[in-house]
Amino acid sequence: MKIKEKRVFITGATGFIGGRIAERLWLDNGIKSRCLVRKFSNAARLGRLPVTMTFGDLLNKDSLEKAMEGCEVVFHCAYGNTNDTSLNREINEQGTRNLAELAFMHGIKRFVYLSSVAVYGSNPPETVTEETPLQVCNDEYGKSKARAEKICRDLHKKGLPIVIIRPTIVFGPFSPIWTIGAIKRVLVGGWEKIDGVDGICNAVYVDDLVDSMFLSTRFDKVVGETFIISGLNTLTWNEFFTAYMKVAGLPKPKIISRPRKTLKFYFSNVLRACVDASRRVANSQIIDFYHWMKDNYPSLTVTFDSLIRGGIKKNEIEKFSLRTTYSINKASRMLGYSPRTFEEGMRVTADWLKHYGYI
Amino acid sequence: MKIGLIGAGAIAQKAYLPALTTSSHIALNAIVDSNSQILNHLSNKYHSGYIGDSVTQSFDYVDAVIVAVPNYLHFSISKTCLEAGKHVLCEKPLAISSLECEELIHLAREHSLKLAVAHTRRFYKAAQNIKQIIAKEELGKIISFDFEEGTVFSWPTVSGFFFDKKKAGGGVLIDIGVHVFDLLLWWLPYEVKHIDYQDDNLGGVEAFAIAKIEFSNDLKGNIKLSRLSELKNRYRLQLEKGIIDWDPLRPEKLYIRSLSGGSRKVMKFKQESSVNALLSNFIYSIENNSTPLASAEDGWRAIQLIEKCYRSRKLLPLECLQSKEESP
Repeated sequence: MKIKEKRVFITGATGFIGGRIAERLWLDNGIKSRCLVRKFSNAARLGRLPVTMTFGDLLNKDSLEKAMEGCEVVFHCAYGNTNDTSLNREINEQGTRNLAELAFMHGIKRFVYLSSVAVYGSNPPETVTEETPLQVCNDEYGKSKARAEKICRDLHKKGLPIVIIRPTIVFGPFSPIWTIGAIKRVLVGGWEKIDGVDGICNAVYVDDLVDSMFLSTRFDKVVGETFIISGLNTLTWNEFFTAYMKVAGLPKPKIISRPRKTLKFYFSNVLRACVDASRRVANSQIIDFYHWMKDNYPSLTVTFDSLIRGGIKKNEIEKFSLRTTYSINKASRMLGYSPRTFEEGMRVTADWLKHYGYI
Repeated sequence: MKIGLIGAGAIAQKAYLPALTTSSHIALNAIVDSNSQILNHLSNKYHSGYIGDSVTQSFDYVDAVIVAVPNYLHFSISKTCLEAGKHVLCEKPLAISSLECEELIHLAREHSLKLAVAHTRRFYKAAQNIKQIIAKEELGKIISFDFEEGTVFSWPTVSGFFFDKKKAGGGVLIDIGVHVFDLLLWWLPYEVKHIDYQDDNLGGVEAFAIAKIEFSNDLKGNIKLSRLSELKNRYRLQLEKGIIDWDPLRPEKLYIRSLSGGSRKVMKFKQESSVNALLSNFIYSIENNSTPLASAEDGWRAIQLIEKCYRSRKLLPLECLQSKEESP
């Protein structure tokens, strides 16, 4: 089945990955997809494309049915990212159930669910494959994704042709955490090389992930399968963030010892508390002073921001120390998945960051 | 002055209704919208002579109207109002083509009516101050300009017309750019000689745009607009003796750096709401038969420049915006 000949419905198209699917469908295949939009205020990126925005909500089955009418392939990328955990769970689970049931009822030819390697929990083993058991963890996002996967699999047993994709750390243009967040982080001194902290990052460029999702619609043999999608290189977090530091024109991070890191951590806490206390007394004057400092002494302000930020946070050290790698062997074998190098993805990302004013 | 509000969507509810109900010179005598839910909600809050969905029926109750409907309706509704002898304050852009603007200007002249456009930035004291500094050459002649304005789009649009080229007339350029171009042409009243324009439109409406503008006196500058990313939000004007910086999102302050040395001078302005100032000026222009500070001709000039941009449009040279061979 070639994607080019299909009518495609995307949920989460106002977001990072769904948005890129819509872009690639149009740019590479001339497909004007149907995209579920819950709030038009999020649709500026999608608005650049000749797609059909269909107003609806995963939790409103009637609106969903109308929105996906006539489509043959579904890319389900939406997930709950509100501040309300129970609403997020409802969107991820009941929303997925609503969509998958409708897809089944309407004889959808392929239902690709975008899950996450978060289903393996916060402390996965050194090598993870699709056969690795899922871990119940405290992370609500991972738990919710695992439950949504189960909902898809249950419907597959009834005949819904599903494919589940579990991406790792997705970066590239518009990535809110691993590109925009990463560049903002390094610009305020948010990255440092701590002695002994050298975990694996498992970065994947967004177009590689999108390729894997398109490939999932191509072969009948992959129906019902789950695929881990990661990048080509085994990259450390230090290498990942150092690449962003290079893009931002910053020097490579120096190694900082554990005792020094502890001191730095306490110092930034004290400094932050002082700033917070001053802001409670004279907020507008403090902000004015900050802007004045930024205008007249920009490099001093960067140092100040960096001291306040305090580099890597205490609760992040464990995450950035993990040596887990995610295997893409199954995806390579069954889908013909062939990701580009990290450097290639980063080159396009850096160009985008510069144009869009992040650096 | 008896005023009617045509269109009660996001801009009306966020800006016009609060301003209209606090002004002592204005009686809000009509509210018109096609959305019955909005009308029901508003009829509980406001006690206007007419609350309904007919523009023409509202005319019995008003001397002047504010047109706050989606962009593509600015022309037809303003035209109907002018033909019925009502003064019009139209939300920006005045219309989505310069031809439509010209027709409205002609109609207003023919009927001796005031036609103003909501270029609210002109009502910022700092913006007026910049105009004066340039006009009086207080910092010498202008050498170059560099304007950046961008925030992540979050306007609570109900209909989503912003993303429909036919209804919006374009993307960030016509939405935010119309303010920027209006100020540029107001501050620098020269003829535009050349434009290089690039955006990221892939078949819908652009969300990021860059314009390089050259005036007939060889003055050059850049304008960068975004509804996808936070830009510097700084209008910088380089003059012979100093640099002016203004943040349109923190408009009460103006920063001036003298090139002869010293730190930046901050000028602070006590700023009333720009919509209140716009409304007062519109009413004043009707009562005193004067030209509004943001006139229809100003709206027309900004749209002409936007049209020039769209005519010379090129796609931003970014790899992620290029078509590749067929996807897998």
